Amino acid sequence: MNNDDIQQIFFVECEESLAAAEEGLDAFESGTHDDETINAIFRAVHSIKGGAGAFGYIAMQAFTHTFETLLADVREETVEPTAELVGLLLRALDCLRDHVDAAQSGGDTPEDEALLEQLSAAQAANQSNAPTDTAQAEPVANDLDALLDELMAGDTSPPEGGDTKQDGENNWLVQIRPNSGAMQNGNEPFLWLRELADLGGMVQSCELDDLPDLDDMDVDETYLSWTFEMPSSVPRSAVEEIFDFVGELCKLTYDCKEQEVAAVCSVQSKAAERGETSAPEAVNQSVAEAKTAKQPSQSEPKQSKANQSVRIDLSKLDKLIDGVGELVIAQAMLTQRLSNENLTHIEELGMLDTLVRDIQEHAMAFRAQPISSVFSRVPRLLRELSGSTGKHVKLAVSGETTELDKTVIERLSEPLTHLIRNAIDHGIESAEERKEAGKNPEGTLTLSAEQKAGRILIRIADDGKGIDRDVLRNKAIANDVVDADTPMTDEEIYNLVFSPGLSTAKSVSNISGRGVGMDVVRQNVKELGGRITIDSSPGKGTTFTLALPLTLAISDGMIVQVGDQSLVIPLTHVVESLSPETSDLKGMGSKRQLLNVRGQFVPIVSLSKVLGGGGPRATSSKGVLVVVETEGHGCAALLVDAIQDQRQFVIKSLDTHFHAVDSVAGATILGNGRVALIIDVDRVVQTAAAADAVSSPVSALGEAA
Amino acid sequence: MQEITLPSRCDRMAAAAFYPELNDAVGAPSPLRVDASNVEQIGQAMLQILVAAAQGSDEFEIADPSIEFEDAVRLAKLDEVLNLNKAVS
Repeated sequence: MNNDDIQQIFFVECEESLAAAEEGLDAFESGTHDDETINAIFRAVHSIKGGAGAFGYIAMQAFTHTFETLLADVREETVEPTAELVGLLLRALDCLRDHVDAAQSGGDTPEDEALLEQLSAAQAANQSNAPTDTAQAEPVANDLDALLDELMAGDTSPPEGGDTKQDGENNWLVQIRPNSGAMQNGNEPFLWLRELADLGGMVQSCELDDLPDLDDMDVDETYLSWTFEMPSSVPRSAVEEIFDFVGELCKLTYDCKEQEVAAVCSVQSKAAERGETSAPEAVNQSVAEAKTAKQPSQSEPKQSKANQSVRIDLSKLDKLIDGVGELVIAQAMLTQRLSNENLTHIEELGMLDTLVRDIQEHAMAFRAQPISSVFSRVPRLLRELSGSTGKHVKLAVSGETTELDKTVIERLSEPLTHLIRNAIDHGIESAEERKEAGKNPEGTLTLSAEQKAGRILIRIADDGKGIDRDVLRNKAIANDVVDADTPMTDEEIYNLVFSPGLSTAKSVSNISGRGVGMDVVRQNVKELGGRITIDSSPGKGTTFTLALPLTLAISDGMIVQVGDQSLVIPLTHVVESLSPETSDLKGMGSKRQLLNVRGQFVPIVSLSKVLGGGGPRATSSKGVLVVVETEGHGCAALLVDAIQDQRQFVIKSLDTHFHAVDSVAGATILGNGRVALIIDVDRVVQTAAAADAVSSPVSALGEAA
Repeated sequence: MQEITLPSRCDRMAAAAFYPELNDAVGAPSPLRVDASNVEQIGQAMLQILVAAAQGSDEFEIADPSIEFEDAVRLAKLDEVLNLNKAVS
């Protein structure tokens, strides 16, 4: 693993730390001021600081240092958790995210001088108000650092003998020797010293033995090494954590012989200065210290807990998923072959089926991530939008632990941002307007996620003014998007929001209103195999619902025969299948036919007609209706010739291998090696309704009866 | 008396640029005064050449050190070797 790889891990961990800090600050903002919440924020910021220092991101390191110093004061309750302070901490977190982004993209570091001043001012205010003087306050902050690092290392046992930094008992030594190359790639060994000092370490000595004459020096070479005396309350793991990202660039030596001597001299001189003990006593004491200094390493908690997770390159994971996909296809082919030999009921085939399904589920779980990684970015977006629009908006989030595929998560961020921007800019009214309408001046944006019927439903709801259907329709007519004479349902009118170039915003802002964005949103969601629907109540608000697939790779489906084609209906849509009696069928006009499903009438859609299926249709006596449920168009009954099988199928994108085809969600390879198209059930039902291509199955099913 | 001024950002790049000037100054017969008043950040590379310069010259002094400079030098336990306690301010 090279330095770049390690740096990438640092950025991944930065994301995790930022999310943890955001979560902690949210809790803090809503009144949770307990130690664990503040410690979680502190740990997150401290962790970023460690990496920033190791990789030489000096500005980021300086910023996090000031940030965490204020957090330490908050932890010590010497700073009041006022609304202003919470606001300052949130702004600091936003700025820290900018620092991380800048470091990752190689861009300019953000302007943070003003914020640093504010952070320092908040801290300075603390210092002036604090009951203790500065000299006393500093060790407290350092002890907090030490304590938190101890917590991070999982060692919660309290240090014996009180503040060992004061009495020096059981303190231990570490020598750091930056190696050749430690100053390459922007690394700055000096920052490691600061980290150690922040942990409460004190420099015992700087070794200059290797330093050559000025004439013989190589500026890129390192010649100095330092010996630090660390408080016993600081575990060795806390020091190692500082050097996690450093790798081979620095040699750490613990409690070496030379250091024993150094410690002896150091303690001797300190004791002599204090006049507390005689020199021989000091030597004895220091030798005892040097012996006990090894204790931290012995009592150090085992690292097995930290090793319970492994970071894997995503491309390796994708190869595994591809392999599982091919395994599923191979298994289907084997089943088909055995079926031809009348061997489908052999026990081993059932075992193989179970094993393949287990492997597939586990492999998919590798890629599953909680949606909180997307939701956690929303508070900042809201703060920015509140700042630019002057609207105060409260965020309510639920279901953030819902998991979905990593690819879906990554590609969800953009459409979600568009929808939230629109909700704040156009949905939620200004405080004055809301007061006039008898609403709470503070708007509410609700984000929720849940798993339902094999899909993930994400809702973005605002309690704003809702979509004005008349304005939207008139705008669409004016822009020639629809004809003035076309009768439209509410749903169809709302869907006009997604038409390119159509915006009902009275003014174009830098946030939204140009009519670009919403069509991109729908396109993005569609590319994910998902669907977006709108529900709006005038004066009450608008809800956008995104229905997304759990995974993009493998799904369960019903394989049906339509003409000479095999088609796949995703099982998530299927409610039931039946061969209808004539009495279950009801005509509606000359072309439409409804199916009576236990008293409920659903339209019948002929897949053959909608998809233009070729080849001779099977005899109508084999006609089967598959009742399906859609996201936005209710239930429908798909007329097919026969049901062939029900099994897992591997989704192959048509966009990638061919091009997108209307009403088709993708393709798959069947057990017999043939390609079958996967039906986009929602689109098929919508198309059938819109184009009046609803089947007239009277003849087909009539013959069946 | 020669006087040279340290830049505000004394990182490795700055040390590489500053090294030839410092080396020549140490070799010259007159006393050397290094103005550290502008220093805001300093790293190991610059500290090393300053220490080597201080050790190689009898008449070397740090003048008017900034708080950041003093803080860094003390943290690295180099205040004595750089004679910082007698620094001219």
